[in-house]
Amino acid sequence: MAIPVEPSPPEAIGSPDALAELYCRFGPGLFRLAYRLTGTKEDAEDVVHDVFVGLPEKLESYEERGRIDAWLRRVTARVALMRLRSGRRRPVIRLENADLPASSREPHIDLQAAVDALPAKLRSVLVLKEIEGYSHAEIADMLGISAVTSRVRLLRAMSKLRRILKGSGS
Amino acid sequence: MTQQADLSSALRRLPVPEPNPELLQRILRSRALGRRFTAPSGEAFLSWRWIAAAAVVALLIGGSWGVSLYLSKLGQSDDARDQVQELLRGTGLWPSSGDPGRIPRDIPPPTYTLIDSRALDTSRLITGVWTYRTEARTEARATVFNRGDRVRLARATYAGQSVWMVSAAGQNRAEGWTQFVDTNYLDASSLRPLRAFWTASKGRIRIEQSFWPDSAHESLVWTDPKRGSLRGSMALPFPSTVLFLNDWSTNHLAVLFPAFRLARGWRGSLFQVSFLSRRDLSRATPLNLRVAGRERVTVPAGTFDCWRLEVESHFWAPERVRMWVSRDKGWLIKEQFGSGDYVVNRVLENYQPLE
Repeated sequence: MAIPVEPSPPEAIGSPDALAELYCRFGPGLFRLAYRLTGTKEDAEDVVHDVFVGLPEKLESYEERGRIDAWLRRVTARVALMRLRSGRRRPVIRLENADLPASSREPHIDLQAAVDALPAKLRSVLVLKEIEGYSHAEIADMLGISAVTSRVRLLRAMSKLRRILKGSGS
Repeated sequence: MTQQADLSSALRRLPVPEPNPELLQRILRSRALGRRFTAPSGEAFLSWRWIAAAAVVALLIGGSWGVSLYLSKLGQSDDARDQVQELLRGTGLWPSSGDPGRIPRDIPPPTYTLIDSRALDTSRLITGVWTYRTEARTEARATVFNRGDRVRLARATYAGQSVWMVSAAGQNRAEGWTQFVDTNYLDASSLRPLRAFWTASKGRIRIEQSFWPDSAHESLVWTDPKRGSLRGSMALPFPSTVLFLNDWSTNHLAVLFPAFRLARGWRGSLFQVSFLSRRDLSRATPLNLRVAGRERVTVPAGTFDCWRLEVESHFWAPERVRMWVSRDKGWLIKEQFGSGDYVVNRVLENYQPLE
């Protein structure tokens, strides 16, 4: 039976063991979210690095007991989006999804490329809604937009995605 | 399955690479090297409503002084008061009726016994610099909109007399209001102000205050874009043996609390005196303080066992403020006003002793 985990006091989180345990438990999921938002493995690693480096101090503002994973995902999304906005992205050229295992590359190249081709504003909403499963209200909260704007951006993202895929013959 | 559902399903199945196995070591190395990262303040993710609310609160806490000083260069004519009123309308600094004469003049008497200066224990004061951060919290979201308020207490000599020197400086970098700096010389034993010097707008506005046992005088000089000055005096409406503040904010109080010897059940009042050169704003209003309980409070500077004070201010309008003062150090740890879904907190970020 899973035992719900309460976050340790901030002063304990700063210890290497505690931070490592949090990373092992939540790191992979946060990396996947950061990767989907930033589009590159290197940027995603930088985002996760920044989140965990600042985590002990950031936990002082944590107030949602028992929902630390949701809170961490929101923090990660904000850090990733901040990175996209600031333009401080690593200059990485994607070589046909070289990061991915060979067995998973071929069928997904077109779709991944199409997602990457979306403007950041549309891609963010697409990732958060269709892949991560956030509601429009939650996305609006994260991005500082209205829920209506989130819906409009998702519609535009999906429409643009279909046009790109149609153009590529997928 | 619809086309949209197919696409959504395909999106969710997009593979994701594994992170570098060294990422955890990189994180731990950064922590060990003292690197820290401050997660986004949330400013970029705020709706215009919260940005507007933060701007209003920024004016309430500190911008009002800078704005009113800047506008006071317009003089004391009816036109000047109208222009001041227009700018401050809606900020909460001017009554909604828009009539500058409607700032409350019916000042209530102090609720508690005035704090006797002779009862203060100035041996408990310590020198240093306290840095505060102000944040507005709306529905569990925190927005820092004013950072780096600093209050400094030091021993000094003024006119051959040993004094306490209280200095305060603050700047809202996010909202862009001008930095203000004040230096105040307090009597070493009574802690009553003797002289004060304020600057704002990068020195274009200067204020000098002088205090005697039963009166106070102020001159306000501005140099840009036009030169001008105002002067004003006030007979102090309280005995020469009681404490008062020459500050409409709580900056000075923050470093004087150790001398109060707070205890369970403690209560006291003092007057706030300011804006002597502005006939429409000049006032001496009571500040009523009462120890209401004990609480353990955690702020960026640490965790403190505190006295919780209920404070009632009347400077701009009747307002209730909560303060938490460290029981052992006497520092102001946290200050809070507002309620419900809109709360403003001012918290101690750190303390540094003087070198």
